[in-house]
Amino acid sequence: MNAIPTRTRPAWFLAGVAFVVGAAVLALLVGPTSIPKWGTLLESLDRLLPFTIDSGLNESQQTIVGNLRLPRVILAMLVGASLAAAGSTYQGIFRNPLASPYLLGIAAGGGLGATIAFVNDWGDGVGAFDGVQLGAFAGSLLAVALTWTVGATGSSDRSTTSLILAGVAVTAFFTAFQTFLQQRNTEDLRQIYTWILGGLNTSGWTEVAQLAPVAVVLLIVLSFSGRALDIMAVGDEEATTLGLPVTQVRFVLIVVASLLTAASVAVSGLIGFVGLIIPHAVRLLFGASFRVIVPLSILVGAGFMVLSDLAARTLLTPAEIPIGVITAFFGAPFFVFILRSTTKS
Amino acid sequence: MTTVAAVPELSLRDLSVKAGKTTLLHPTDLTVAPGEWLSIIGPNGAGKSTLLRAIVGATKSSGTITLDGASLGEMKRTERARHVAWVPQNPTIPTGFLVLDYVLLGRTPHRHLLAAERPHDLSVVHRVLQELDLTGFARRDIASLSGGERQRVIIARALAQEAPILLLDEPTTALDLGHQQEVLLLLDQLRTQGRTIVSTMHDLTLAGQFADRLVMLSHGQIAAMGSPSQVLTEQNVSDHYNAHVQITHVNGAVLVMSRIRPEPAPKSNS
Repeated sequence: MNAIPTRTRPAWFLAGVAFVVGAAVLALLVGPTSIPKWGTLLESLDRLLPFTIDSGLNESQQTIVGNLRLPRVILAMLVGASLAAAGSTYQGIFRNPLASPYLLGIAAGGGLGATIAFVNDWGDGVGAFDGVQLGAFAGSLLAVALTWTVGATGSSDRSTTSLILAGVAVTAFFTAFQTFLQQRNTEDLRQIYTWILGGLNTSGWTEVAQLAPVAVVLLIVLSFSGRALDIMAVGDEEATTLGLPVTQVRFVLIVVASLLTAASVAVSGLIGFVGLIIPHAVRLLFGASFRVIVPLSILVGAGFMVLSDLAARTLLTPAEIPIGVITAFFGAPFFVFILRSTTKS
Repeated sequence: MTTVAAVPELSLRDLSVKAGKTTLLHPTDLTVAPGEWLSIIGPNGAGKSTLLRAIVGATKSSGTITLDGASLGEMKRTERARHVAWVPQNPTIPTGFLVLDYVLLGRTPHRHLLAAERPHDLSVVHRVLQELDLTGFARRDIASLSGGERQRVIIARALAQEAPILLLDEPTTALDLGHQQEVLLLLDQLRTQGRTIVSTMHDLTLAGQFADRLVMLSHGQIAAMGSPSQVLTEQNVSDHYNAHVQITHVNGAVLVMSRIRPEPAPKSNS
């Protein structure tokens, strides 16, 4: 008898990688302009790899693949991976499968920050370090910081319950402020609303260059957090007696997951559902250990977001559907399907 | 066999616990000899669980707790966890965890937070599972276990910590008679392998049979301490539990019987 503990099985991991690569290839190949398939893939490799590959595409085809489709696919991967990783971390920290990356007020804070930027004409959400992006990023982090501070007032030791309640209060407060501003500036409403629903339609290499360095580092940190999250699953008190510095670990993980979420929100708006459903689905399919949930959520989240974005831009061509609509519209039935099939067995 | 190299003497000096303005445990002095089984008894709310939680560090306390003179409070969290293991009364059982993964959590203080388990950790866990007759359950979901099996799994997690001091909060309360005896015999066996056991107990008869020494807590302080026959007296139980009992001694065991009803009145046919 030599049972090994639950950990990411290589086969699952490879399946996850295959899913991401498959989704990316599909998203690169599909678009309103017909471009040779091999050429598209070769052109993408040419852009990604340090050496030159001749794709055989003409210049406008090269531009479409290299400057429109490829950065968008990469950004979708980063955003999906970030939201799913942050969601799985939050679910572990709060021992609550209903936790999402927006639990501590990031959505309301980001929404308020973006609204303030829109009504003051600080930017339009496009390009590197645009005013709306900075507003959303700052607002997100401000909301989490406020939640963390308020969460300590209910009890001396920031229990998960007091943090969740503080998040509810901060969300309500920021949302009220945001609604007030929107009512006073109805001319900006459409722009704000579109941003809130989320989208990757304006994404280019600048957004990738902005998000990628932060996201990759933080994603690596979170992929190693599974063991700590597993220990926290027995509750703060027992985890402490097992030697885990619970408050410190929770602080670090909340900071990392929140930074990751805020950075994603800044470039893509408030894409809902992914951070909640992907980790949950992974848990239902692959077990309750966060050593499995976190890394697999990153892969599944990345692939899911690429496919959602593909649907968002192709279903009603040439119109774009907000990606938040897609993630919920296709994600919800898919989730119900997983829920039903796993509870039966 | 799990062996614990040297079992230290556990000593509490002026240990007290407050929750806000309420004192849960008044300053208490207590010494537990290496390899001793000390049972803490007392009515609900007497501070039994609080005392265990203070020793393991699950609650803040004042006063000193030492192991062979070394202060637990000054130890690093992981070092403390290598010395004292705790089996809570109502542990949080994570949903969907396998028995193996759960017991492996007991190895937490023995490795770095980010490190994967080493072969040694796994071999300790497998040995503990074997000792507790849980080998066949390793890949089962904890939620699918019976109450007795579950209690053994929780004890297994504490044993995987390889701590010389084992604290158990009501280890038998949720169990039927057979499983109560099974768990207590198991603890007795673990003790002979070199461990100090401090447990809280509700069942006074069982407490008296398995412990070397009893401490009766009442209103957060020690009301009586000594051998089972010294502590388990009708007077003590009546004073502190507000209960009517009859105590008899059979073959060296102290039997505490509840006597709620007055003597049955002689039947009259009128």
